[in-house]
Amino acid sequence: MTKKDWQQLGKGLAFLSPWLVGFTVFTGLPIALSFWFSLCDYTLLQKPVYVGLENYRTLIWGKNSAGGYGDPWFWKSLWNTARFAAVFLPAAMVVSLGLAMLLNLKIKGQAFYRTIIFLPSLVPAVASAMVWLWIYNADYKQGLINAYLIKLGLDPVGFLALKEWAMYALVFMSLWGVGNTVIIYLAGLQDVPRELYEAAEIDGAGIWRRLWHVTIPMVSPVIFFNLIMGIIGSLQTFSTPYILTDGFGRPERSLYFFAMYLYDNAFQYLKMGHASAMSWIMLVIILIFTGIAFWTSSRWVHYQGK
Amino acid sequence: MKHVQIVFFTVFVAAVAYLLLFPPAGATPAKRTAQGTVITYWEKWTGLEGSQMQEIVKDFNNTVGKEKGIYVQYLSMSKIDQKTLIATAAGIPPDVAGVWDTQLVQFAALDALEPLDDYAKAYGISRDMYKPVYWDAMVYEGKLWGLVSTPWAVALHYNKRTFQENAEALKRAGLDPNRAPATLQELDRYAEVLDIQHAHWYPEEVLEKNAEALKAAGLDATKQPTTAEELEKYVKVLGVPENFFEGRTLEKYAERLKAAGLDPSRQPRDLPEMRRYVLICGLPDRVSGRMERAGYLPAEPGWFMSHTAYWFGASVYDAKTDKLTLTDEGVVRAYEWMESYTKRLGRKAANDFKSGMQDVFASAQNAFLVGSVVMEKQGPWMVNYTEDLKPSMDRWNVPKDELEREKNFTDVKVGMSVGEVETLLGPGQGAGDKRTWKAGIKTLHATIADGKVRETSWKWLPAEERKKYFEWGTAEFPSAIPGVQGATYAGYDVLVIPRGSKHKKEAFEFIAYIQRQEVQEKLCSLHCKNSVLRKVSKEFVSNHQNPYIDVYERISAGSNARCLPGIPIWPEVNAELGQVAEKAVKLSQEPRQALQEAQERLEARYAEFKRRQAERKRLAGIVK
Repeated sequence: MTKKDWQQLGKGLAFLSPWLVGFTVFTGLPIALSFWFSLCDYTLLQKPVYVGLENYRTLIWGKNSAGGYGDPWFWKSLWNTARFAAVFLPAAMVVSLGLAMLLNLKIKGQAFYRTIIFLPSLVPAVASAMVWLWIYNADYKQGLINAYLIKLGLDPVGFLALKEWAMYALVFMSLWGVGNTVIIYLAGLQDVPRELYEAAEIDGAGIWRRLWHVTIPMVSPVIFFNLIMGIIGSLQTFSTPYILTDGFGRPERSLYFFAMYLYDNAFQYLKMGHASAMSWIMLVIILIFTGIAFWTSSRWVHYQGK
Repeated sequence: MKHVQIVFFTVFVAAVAYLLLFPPAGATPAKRTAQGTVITYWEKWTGLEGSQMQEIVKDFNNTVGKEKGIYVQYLSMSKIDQKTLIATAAGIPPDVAGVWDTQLVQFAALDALEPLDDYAKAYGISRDMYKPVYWDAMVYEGKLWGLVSTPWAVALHYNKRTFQENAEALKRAGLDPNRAPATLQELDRYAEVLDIQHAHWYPEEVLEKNAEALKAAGLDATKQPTTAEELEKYVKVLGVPENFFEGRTLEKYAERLKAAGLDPSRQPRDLPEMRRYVLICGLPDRVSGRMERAGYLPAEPGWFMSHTAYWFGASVYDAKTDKLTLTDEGVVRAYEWMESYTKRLGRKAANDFKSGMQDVFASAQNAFLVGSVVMEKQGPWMVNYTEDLKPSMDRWNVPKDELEREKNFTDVKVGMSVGEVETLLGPGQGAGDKRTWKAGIKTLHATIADGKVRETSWKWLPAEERKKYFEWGTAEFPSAIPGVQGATYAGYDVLVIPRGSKHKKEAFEFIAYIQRQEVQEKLCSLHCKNSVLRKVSKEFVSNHQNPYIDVYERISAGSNARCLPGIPIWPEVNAELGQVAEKAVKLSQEPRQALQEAQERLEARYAEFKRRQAERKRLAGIVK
């Protein structure tokens, strides 16, 4: 490299330094430390003591008091999270793409509908949880849904009181906040060239064939992006169930999510080693799922110009 | 453009360098002002309670602080547990922290607190000054780790008005509507009478057809039975309602029914059989209707469910043997008792009803305030909420004209003539420069000079006088053990000196100040709690906002008051107990079985904690 190149490199690094320093100090270092802590017995108040894979063993494969393997709450919270992701992710993809397509129609009041759909995603999680608590209230005099169920001669339902209902209630209320995803889909839909639809129409393709052979392939990079973000987001679900259930994951821990157990381990039980191990396990799980998504993407994601 | 880049870059580098060289100061580095040493005090209370503590801090700074050269810098914050934890771990803790009771033993076990024994000794602070339950709660492994700032206890709150409105029904059940239940069995019976539940046991035409027979038995053919007791009377006349249990219920309890000699493949045929089936399966969901009101519901507010065993003479932890005792018979009975309410009311009805209440304690929808529950377990702070959200509950028997006059207290302004005040409030009492007006549950005191009001203040009427106006009453929550009086769960907020505090002596000076009788009484009056000290003044009891504070004083001082078990893994124990309680009130698992499983999990966790703790101590050189 010439002297000028070195100077350029120096300048470039200097301008990058705020980000580099920030990343190293506030992200890189904590990531590295969390890995170290995951191999330690660490209460936060005492010096970490190296215990090897003990935390992972206790969580995953160590024999437990019930004769099973691993920490029962770890598995329970992981199972809840997986169930939520399995229901919410496809539902959110379908609902948000569907809404985006509806909002893409050239109809009167289009801007109004777009605003209405996007608005809930601006509502803070706490406020949204409070609103839904009232909507789902099992008291037939107070709960919005139950008040109508009673009028229809049906029995009220304890949406958040019964473990059979709670997960679906949470999924439904989470769908209320898909506005951000809808906006991204909408942007993707607006990028689909009109000529393709015209060509398909001339070839005699109906609405479903146009959707399946034009729209979906053309927005597949956006679907792919939302899928990746959705996997990460749904596996890290924390704030809404935490607020909704006061941190207990009621009813009967059916809403006790992985991130909630991680939080409890870190700040309630002061088992920072366990919490760190859990965060690394979650990272691995997310990596596996996103890896699968990337691996399969070449078959179903179509980039324009390729 | 190049110049702009250079300026931009220089500013960035300078800012980063400044931050690296002069990081933001931690909470504790020694500071000395003209007044002396500044100590930092972090407290969990925000809002009204936060500003009330600020007042106490101000008093300290203006008196003892001034004299001894100490200035307390007060910081009220949320999530104090995490913030204290992180600051302590980082080596920059506050000098004093007001933490939750659940943290004391946990932090002490992890060596995060300074022991206070030597300071307490030097200041003449000892156990005999305190109500034993609160002092003992501060001691872990023989050392004193904190001192209580504000204590509380749990008692039964009941709605006297609802008792009166249902006086006839209560009397018919052999219960006295003029007092609170005295035994736990009695509480259950009061609750049953006071429940309002829409039930649809029999089709209307069946009731009509048998109107004569029902009338002859003293029953109303236009109504469904609303309590289990009433249902039995109807069953005597009409027989067991058709399809009493769902098939699935009978299947679910098949084993137990068989063990009891009952046939799970058919419905009960008569009353004695029905009773035996109900004992095992509980009242069926399908036919127990929606609830309008519960006499009592263990899950409302449900904050103290983990401590229910105390009322059954048991505990989930035995400090002497350092063993968890979740499967003790008393503990099992406590959870079975909670379960019995759901069995009686029906799973769906009880859970929908509770779920409808949500967590709206500090709101006008509070179940006790709106009358959805007639009796509940609560602490002395309740009066803060009745007075704020439904003041009429504190003035049930106050004549209307007095209510108006009490409202007019706020219209009395400095500078008004005595005549003007009398127009508003009527003739006052006293003469000369001190005049008082009594109205409702308050007394207005005015200082008069030249015929004009110079100063005003108001006080509550003496507690004994106020009690008779209240719509609600407080009594000790009855124990399940015959003859046991004053059983309660006593909680507290606690002041500690985190490890690494730079001004321990000064910090203790402040903590010791809070333990003074007059300071303790002022703070606990403001926060609407009882005192931590054995000795309390008559004025404290009489002028306290809660006229029933004498009940809390008595039960918290008694030998049947219990506090949090001194086990370092309490947060985990509490989480498990929460699960057991939820399973019990939702009838999803037998309490005995749930407790057994929780006991096994917790035993493993506690053993693991102790093993790791020993290793930590060995490495730290505390234990060779």
